[in-house]
Amino acid sequence: MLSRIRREEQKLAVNGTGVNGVQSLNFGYESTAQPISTLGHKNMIYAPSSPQTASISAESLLVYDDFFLEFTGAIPFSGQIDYKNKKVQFTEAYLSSYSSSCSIGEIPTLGMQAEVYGELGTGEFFTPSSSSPHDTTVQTAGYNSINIDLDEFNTNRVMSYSLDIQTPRTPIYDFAGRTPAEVVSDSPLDVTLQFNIQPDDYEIKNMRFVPEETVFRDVSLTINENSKNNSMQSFSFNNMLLVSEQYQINTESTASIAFTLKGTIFR
Amino acid sequence: MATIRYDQVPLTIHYNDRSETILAYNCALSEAADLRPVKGIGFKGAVEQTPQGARTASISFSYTPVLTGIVDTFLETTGSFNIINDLASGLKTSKQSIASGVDIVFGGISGEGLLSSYSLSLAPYSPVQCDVNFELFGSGENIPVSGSLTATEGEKEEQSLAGTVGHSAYSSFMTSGSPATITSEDQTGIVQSVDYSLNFQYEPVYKLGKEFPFSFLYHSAEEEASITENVYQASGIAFTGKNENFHLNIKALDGSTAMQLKMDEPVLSNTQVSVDAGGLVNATKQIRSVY
Repeated sequence: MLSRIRREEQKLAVNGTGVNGVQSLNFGYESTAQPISTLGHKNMIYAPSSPQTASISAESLLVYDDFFLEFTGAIPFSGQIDYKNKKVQFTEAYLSSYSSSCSIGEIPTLGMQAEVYGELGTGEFFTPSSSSPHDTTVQTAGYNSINIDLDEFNTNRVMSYSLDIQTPRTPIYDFAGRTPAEVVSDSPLDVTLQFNIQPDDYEIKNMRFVPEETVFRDVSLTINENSKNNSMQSFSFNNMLLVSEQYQINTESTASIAFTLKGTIFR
Repeated sequence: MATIRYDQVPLTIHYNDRSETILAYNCALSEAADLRPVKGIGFKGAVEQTPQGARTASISFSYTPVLTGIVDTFLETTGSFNIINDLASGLKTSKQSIASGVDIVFGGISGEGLLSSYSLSLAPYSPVQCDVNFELFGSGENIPVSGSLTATEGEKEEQSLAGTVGHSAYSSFMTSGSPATITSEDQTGIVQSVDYSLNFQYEPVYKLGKEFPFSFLYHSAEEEASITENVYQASGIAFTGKNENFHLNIKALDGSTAMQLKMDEPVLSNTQVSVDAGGLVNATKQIRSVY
């Protein structure tokens, strides 16, 4: 009988806590083993050419307090992925990017990508504990419960936002080491915030990057529980630099402007 | 077909009844004639180009070493290391003045050579790459190389893991039985890479009437290691350097066999700390031994 693995048979747990609302999950590795071609030999031998890492990425709905944001700092995490009756463990995962986005008609989604500098595979890399669910009460955020504070939006309708935070890391390897002796959390973190609005009185800025035309904005973004006022996540950025504006119109739609703000966070 | 592929030109060396096939990434054989144009008043151009010194030849190659010896945790060594490692370690501390050569055969061309330089690089979790240069010498009237380049069809083998080649995975850079690191007051440095080199100086002995030297006298060797790490000893280096014995123990990927490079009481000759915007501070220290 054809067997397959469905979503109800899978589970992602991070540091012993189950992650709810996961919409997609990817993990894997690519071997660094390289062929060694040598003179006079008609065979190929393989050896690792650099330290081995793996990666894991996930997308989830914002159905409770933001789970991955806390890992944008210097702390790694371990985890376990259960599928059917098997499990894969990973250790020393460091978040490399975090994202949050929402459009009208959607539930806000979170995304994360992490690099695994420890181990990943079907082994006992740590004592598995029975993962507990993150929260018994699912709180769903909704597009109707998001507050964005930016001067431009008083009369211009925000259709979507997208937040991306890059958290670069530099692994420091001992020349004899298989895993890094240290993983340095680099600074600064690059923050990209994109909005898509339907303009009313929005004024496109000047393309010249000169002092009198350069635009900085303070932005705050608050995501509440669906149709309620209790905050699930909030972001506040000062002096975000406007770096892009894209105006779009066609015969079948309302005019829209996508604009991008860039910022940095020093650790 | 005159074309010869890389897999048809094996490189082998023979020394003291031992033979090894080298896992060479590349190989270059070069020959040079020491000619001088003879000019004279009353003659246009050069009358001829005439020898003023012996013809010379050298062969250089990069390879990954196949390890055969054993280094235990107490730095005791047993078994024979690979020929070039054994040769380099023995020659630099040799009390004998006359150096003997290694027979090198490259795709049907052979010659006898003296190891003139030997270097290797160790980077995190990667195979060791060694670079060597041999000066080929003739003897009396024999030219430095003989034979002709011919293709050799070796046996085809299954692909496999390079279990016995030198790899940084289990290697160590030790001093006094402990990992060699620069330490500051509360931090231990992480040795990120090691670049090692060893250069030999010889004196050829010529006889009048013979083009090639009949013997080579070994004079001295200079050994250096450049170590990159992430801490810097702010107190600086002493004028006379710092003397400690260093052992670079390189093990095979399967951890079973090894080779060892021992630096006798090297002095710290140079330290440098540098950083680029957006990067991390790196420190390098250079240690040097002279034999």
